[in-house]
Amino acid sequence: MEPNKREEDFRIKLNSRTLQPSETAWDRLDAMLSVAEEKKPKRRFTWLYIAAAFIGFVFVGLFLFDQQKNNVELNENTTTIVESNPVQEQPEASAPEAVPEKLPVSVTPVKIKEAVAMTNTGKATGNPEIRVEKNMAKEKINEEMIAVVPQKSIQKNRVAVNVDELLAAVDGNQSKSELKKQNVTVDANSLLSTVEGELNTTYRENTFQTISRNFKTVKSAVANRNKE
Amino acid sequence: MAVENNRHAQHKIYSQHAPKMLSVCRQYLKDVHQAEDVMITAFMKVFTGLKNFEHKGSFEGWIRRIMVNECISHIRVQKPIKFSEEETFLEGGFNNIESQLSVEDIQFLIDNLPDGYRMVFNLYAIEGYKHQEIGKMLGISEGTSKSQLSHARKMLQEQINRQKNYQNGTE
Repeated sequence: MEPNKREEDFRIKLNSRTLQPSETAWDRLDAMLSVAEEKKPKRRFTWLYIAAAFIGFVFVGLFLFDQQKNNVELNENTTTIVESNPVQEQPEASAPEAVPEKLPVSVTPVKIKEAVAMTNTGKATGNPEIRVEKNMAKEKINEEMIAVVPQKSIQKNRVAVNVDELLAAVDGNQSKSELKKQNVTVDANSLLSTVEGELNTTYRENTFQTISRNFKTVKSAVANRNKE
Repeated sequence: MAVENNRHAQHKIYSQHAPKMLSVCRQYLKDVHQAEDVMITAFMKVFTGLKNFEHKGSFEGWIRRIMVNECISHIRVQKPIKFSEEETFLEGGFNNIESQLSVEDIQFLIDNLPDGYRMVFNLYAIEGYKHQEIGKMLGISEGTSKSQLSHARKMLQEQINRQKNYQNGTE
């Protein structure tokens, strides 16, 4: 199957042959080369766009991943808070109750003093209206004492109310000094008249509050007993 | 310079090699215009792939290989070639005739061969490829390549004999 003499002759003759291409052949090739050269930069730009888009996606992905991480960390924190809340929430929940409950307690000595002062003045003047006021004051003191009893029992149950108690005590001391100063300056009759009005309102409010509070405590106690 | 798309350098390469390469393309394709189209496409590949030339062989050989490959792929795209799988082939023949054929006659004889025969004959007898290489290039077995060559030779021989008889008859 080796190439024979005739094939060798064919090869020599064909390899030595030249065929002149048409005149337009180079122009066509030139045009094709120009088109190819114009396409090349576009390809480069497209690759750049693709690379930029890829980098952008990577950055967005990283950003979202970080956000998810933070969310997970936050969730973890919240879970820990939720776990610790049952201990801490008790004082927080009771704090708003404690403040208004404590305030009248701290005020009562002042009011007792006022009542005492009023009785003294009443004795001096011998006015029967002041006796009525005295009785009213005594009733109020009794009511406040009644109101204090459940407060104390609640305070015994609570563990972390110290800060609020301290604040309430400080407020009470401040109000004491203010009231003392007012006692010195304010007229007794005007004070009595204002206290009269206040007593009526506060008495109603206090009684309503104590009733509602006692009802709540009883209700919760019954509910707890049922649960237990 | 031609690597950097210098058109003057490219034109120089083109004008130096185009006539020979058009001849190569013409061996595989019967129509000279079609051969020119394929040559232009192959030159495009030459210029775009110029930086891939490794300077191991001759530059002309590299261009020629591109031309041949382009011709084969063009023929295969135009119509699928059916290579007969029979592996019986005749030894010899086509050897004992005094060679007075012109290049035009040779081209005429080759043009009359079927596409498969013509490709294998050109690749083996003119380009000097081995049957193994031809098999890889055309996607056929080595035996098929050999059988295609023997059939091509037989057909050429018949044509030459017929031509000779015709000439003797006219004389």
